[in-house]
Amino acid sequence: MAPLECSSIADFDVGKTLGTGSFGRVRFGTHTGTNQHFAIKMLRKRDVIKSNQVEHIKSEKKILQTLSKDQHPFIVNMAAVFQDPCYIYMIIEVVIGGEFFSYLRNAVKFDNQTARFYAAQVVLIFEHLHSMDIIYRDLKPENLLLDREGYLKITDFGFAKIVPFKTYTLCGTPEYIAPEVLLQKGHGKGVDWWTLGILMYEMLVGDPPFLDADPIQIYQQVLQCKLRFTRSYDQDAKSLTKKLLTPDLTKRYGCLKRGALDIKTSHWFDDTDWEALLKRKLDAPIKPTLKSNTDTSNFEAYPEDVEKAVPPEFDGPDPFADF
Amino acid sequence: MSEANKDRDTQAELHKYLVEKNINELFVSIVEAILLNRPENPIGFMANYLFEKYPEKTQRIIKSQDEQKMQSLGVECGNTERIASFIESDAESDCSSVNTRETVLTARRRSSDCSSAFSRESIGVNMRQLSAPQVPVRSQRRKSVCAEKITEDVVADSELKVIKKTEAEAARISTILKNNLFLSHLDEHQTKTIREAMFCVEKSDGEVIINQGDKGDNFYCIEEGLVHVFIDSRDCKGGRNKVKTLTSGDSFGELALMYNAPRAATCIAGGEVRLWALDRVSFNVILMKTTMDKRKRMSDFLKNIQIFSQFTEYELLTIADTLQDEAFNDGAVICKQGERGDRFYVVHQGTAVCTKSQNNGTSMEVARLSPGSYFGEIALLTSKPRQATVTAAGDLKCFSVDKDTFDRCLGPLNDILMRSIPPPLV
Ligand SMILES: Nc1ncnc2c1ncn2[C@@H]1O[C@H](COP(=O)(O)OP(=O)(O)OP(=O)(O)O)[C@@H](O)[C@H]1O
Repeated sequence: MAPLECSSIADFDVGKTLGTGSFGRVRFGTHTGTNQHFAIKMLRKRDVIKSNQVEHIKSEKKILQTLSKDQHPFIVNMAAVFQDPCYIYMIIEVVIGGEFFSYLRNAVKFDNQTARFYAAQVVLIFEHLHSMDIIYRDLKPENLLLDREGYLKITDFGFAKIVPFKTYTLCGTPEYIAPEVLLQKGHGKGVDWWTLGILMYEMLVGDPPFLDADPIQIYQQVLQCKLRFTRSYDQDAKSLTKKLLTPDLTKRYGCLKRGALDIKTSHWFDDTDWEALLKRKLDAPIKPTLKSNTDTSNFEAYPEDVEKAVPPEFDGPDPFADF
Repeated sequence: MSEANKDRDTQAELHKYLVEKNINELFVSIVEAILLNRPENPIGFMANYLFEKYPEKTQRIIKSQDEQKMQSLGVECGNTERIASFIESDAESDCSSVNTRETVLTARRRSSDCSSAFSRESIGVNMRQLSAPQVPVRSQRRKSVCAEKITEDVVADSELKVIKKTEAEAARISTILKNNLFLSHLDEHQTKTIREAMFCVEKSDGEVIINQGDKGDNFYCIEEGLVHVFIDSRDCKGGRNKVKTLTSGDSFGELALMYNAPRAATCIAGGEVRLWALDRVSFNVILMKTTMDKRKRMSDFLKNIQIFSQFTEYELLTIADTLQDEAFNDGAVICKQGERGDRFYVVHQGTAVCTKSQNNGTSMEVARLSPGSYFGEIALLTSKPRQATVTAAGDLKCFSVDKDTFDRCLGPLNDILMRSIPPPLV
């Protein structure tokens, strides 16, 4: 996807809401000049400032710009970014198959092969991100989308960060947070491999391994790290899951000398053809049904918001002046 | 009372209800949204609409319904209180109704805790059927959480507070910290620094310490007195239920040390109470400062070790991360001449004595090791027997790592050393 010449939301026909996030919505949009379709992520500056997330949004933009140069097949590409008084707009490649989350919840759980197909793509995503010293920090089904062929695309780089070694700010999603993050002793690339373990488990069981309505209870379970597997959990998958959900960072797969290779060569992936996967030559287990390339029916219907945006308030200089 | 009067009363009551609960406006907004979107499935749409717009309210109803149903299914078992912690995310309206699903699943998990994995799966099916049609998929998305960023500059600039405490107070706080799952991993120095930073809060009978739904800032340890814990009741009448009473030696509110989340309960002083409090920013600053200092000290030690001189900064930090704290009492033997060794040590506090046995059976001191000195590095290369015996002279603290861990995290030391030797020219 080539960068797009545009600097205003007026260059787009803005369509249906595809999803909502903490600071606004993501809408389907058509660039009127080129008739290309995009996902337009609109972030309300006011809310971003209010929840102290200006730095995270700036880093999201910077990381997406960096990543878009490589056009990784499993990472959303960003074509443009601009702002007006109320909003930041990120013009992102639209991933039309819908949310991975919805497919997983509808299926309740995935069979071994299906789970492996997606897990393998996540391995390649993290391998790529880590090679650039980027950690992602918020893997969960909610942040994965399916493209028209049924391959994954990871989205939402809100917590991604360029970290050569360690960083300290606690963030993530309660069910997916690694023990070293909770203990606040500094964390690095290892957190992503932990979240891969949680994702594998959630795909194969239907729920994540540490679960409670109360986050503190989840965190207690994480620190105790007692894993229970269902009978149907594949043995090789189980041994890899355990290697990933290892609190000891000198033992967790992915964090060791061989990096992602320990995971890629684990028995669960014995039959995975990594090159074919990266070239998207494998048959996807779920293929979204699409009538056209503007068919957004795989996304849920969201009530369109009618409220007017309010410009942000801030003391001192505009925090987005250099955006 | 006459029939007519009764009717009028009912009418008035209904009217009052309609006005109080703003029913009219609610329906207007729903119809408006429907007309704007013209959804295929208006019922699902309305459900979604309500979930989205009123996450807190929709969640409570579903929760209590779910709980009733679960009880009637008999899946509840064990301890369902949730009081040990005080933050419940449904207290804040901006967090969506994620918890709906979680509550359902929690009951599942709890039920599975006291039965086999098999019954967990079979109950799982029931619960799915129970919850699926009621809860729109969308309402179940999980929210991310995030703490405020503390920059390294802030950490470097901040002065750590030291608040005076008696010995008995200090000892009690240390015990509380040691027994807390989230704080028990801290080393001695960190525990001490945190203890020193804790400040005293005094409350008298009936005073609120934390309020359910408020933003969490402090973690508290009870020095003296009673604290009653209440959770707002979920029925429409409001009010709250007492769930627990905490006393001297107990602590509460640890989620506040992680990130800003609404409190899950209200805590009220029962009589005069003395508490020790710690706020999130101080806690984070202390943790960052002590962790970074320690890492720096370790890598400074490592940099000066001949065998590691070719290592990159990243590799040194990686080794630093594998090092474990080890403490030895006076006279303790750390390694013995002639035995196979698999650990490498750096002295970081105290003195160690190296001795070698002589042919005549006596042993002779060959070196005294002070902080920064190291021994056993050969163990990282080969499993040759130890060349000397090393004994602690007085209390001794070391950092150490074994060969297997080193090899796993950095690869064989041999390979790293070979990098600096140019390949043969053939
Ligand atoms: N490239 C895309 N193509 C199609 N839909 C998308 C795309 N990016 C995002 N979405 C939809 O929008 C939703 C929100 O996107 P995203 O997670 O990036 O927003 P956010 O504001 O960062 O959310 P959060 O508050 O969870 O961090 C996604 O769950 C998805 O449904």
